Amino acid sequence: MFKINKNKVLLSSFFALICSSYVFASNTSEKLAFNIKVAKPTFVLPQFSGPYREREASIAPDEYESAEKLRALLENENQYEALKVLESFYDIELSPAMLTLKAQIYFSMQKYDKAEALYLKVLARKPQLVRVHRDLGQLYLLQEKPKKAQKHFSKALSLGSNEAIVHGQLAYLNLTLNSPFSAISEYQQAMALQPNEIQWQQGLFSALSQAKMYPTAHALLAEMLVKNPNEIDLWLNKAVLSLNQNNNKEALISLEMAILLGDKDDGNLKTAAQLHLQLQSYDRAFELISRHVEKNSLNTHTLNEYLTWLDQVEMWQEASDLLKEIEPKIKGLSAKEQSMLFVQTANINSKRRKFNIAEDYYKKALDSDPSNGDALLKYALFSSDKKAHIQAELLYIRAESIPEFEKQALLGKAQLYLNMQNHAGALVQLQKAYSRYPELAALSEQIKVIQNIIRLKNKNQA
Amino acid sequence: MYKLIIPLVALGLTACNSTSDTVNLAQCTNNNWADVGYETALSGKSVRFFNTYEEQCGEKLAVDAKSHYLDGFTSGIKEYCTYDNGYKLASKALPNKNTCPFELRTQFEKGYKMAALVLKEQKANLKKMQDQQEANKRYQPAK
Repeated sequence: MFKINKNKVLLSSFFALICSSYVFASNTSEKLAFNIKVAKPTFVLPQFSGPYREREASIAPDEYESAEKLRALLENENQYEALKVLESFYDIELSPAMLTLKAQIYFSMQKYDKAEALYLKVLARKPQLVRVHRDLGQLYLLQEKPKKAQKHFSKALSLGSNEAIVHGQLAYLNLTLNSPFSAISEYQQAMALQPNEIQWQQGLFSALSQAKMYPTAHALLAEMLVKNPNEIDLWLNKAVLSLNQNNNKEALISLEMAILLGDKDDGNLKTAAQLHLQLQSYDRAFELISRHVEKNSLNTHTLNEYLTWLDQVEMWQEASDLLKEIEPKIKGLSAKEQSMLFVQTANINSKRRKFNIAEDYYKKALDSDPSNGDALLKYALFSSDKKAHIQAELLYIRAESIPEFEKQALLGKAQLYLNMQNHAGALVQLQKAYSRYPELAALSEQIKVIQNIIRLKNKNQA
Repeated sequence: MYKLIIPLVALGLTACNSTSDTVNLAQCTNNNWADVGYETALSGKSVRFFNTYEEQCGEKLAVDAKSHYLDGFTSGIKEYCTYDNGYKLASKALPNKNTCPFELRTQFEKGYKMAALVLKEQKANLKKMQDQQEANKRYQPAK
């Protein structure tokens, strides 16, 4: 690719490295990162049903009559009337049990501030009421006050609560507020009490994964999949786990299973296509890409990524087919987006050696968006390959004026001058690049080499 | 106007047997409702005594009077509802007005019952002694 008379091996390898990194930054130097979206652990709220549900505080004997009345009202879902009865008393006249009931009614009516104030009042009178700590924890969880919720769930457990929901919710909070390790034991407790509750299983799985305890997480997931083989999230979780363990093939199998079961998440489809490309199952990759492109209103960023991947694996025909498929939609795009796709089309045609078509598309790309730095650089390189040096130089000069493309433009121009045997010009560009981008440390060596060449040339001429 | 209302209210309250107190109208505009609540609790009156203020003060009552009153009452009732205080009241043969909240009631009633028992015993002993004296007088042989 790079031809220099003397010292060319060194310079060629240097430029091959630099240019491939920068000129085709978007194409070749991107590290593949796989993303799979899975459901996050959640929490559930209990239903409050009335004064005679389990509780730790008993009602006063003189409240029996009122309690009977309240029970009847609540059984008929007449919360407003029940509240009216309770509000006819001063809070201090009610036993903590009745006051708790009043707070629960406020809670279920979504009068959270009143419920909170009452729960706190009950705890001021009887701080050891486990159920109130539990309810208050849930109230805070709902109000997105996780630290307060955590405090009350912990208190409920320290006072002897052994409800799965308290363990599970504390685990959820520990997982989100602290470390996954602090959640594992609580999720295990919740699972021990409610082994079939999918939430605790998912929570435990999530905690184990975050703690990087992969073999245990895998074992748990295998058990969950035996019970729920059609659960999409479980397959997605398995895919994530496999990716974490760098087992891309296993991840792809799980991801395909999720897609087969109906997962339609864009990101997951994209990851599956990406994995297929990496594992060289190109037909399936292209099938997924086409399906995604068909399904969606055109997302140019995603499409651009797909085209780049297809380019990387030299599937130019497929890339061309894909572009044809979306052609009718292109008119509806913004000028910038159109420009981006024209660059891809030009690039693909260039690879397929259809140079005239490629050139037309480069021009169209720049007509649509004259400040498309990527188009300028690629068109410049294309022109340089065609020995249209003047045009290439002009395009590099234009790219140089765009700050984020300046570095690539300077290096590209230096390469162009070297191709033209203009060592002095190349030296100026490299010195400029080195002074503006000191992180290009390797340039100093190359500058010395070119200076030697110039010196040698001058000596020979003299 | 108040002259007409107060006797009626007082009569009503007496009829309900909740309390027979009337309020000092100067208190309607005071700033220490917490103290009023506290003192009310310590005097063994019901928390509902505040209703009397509401009825008699009307709009003169400060907006936050009730919450301050209840704060004070809550503090006072904790001091009132103790074993010792229950014992003291029963020792003086004062009635148990059942104003203690449920969670504080047990200790207070324990003290009250204990003192009531002691008082009952004392009364029984006294009566026994009196009866003995009477009997002694009655059966004294005539000289």
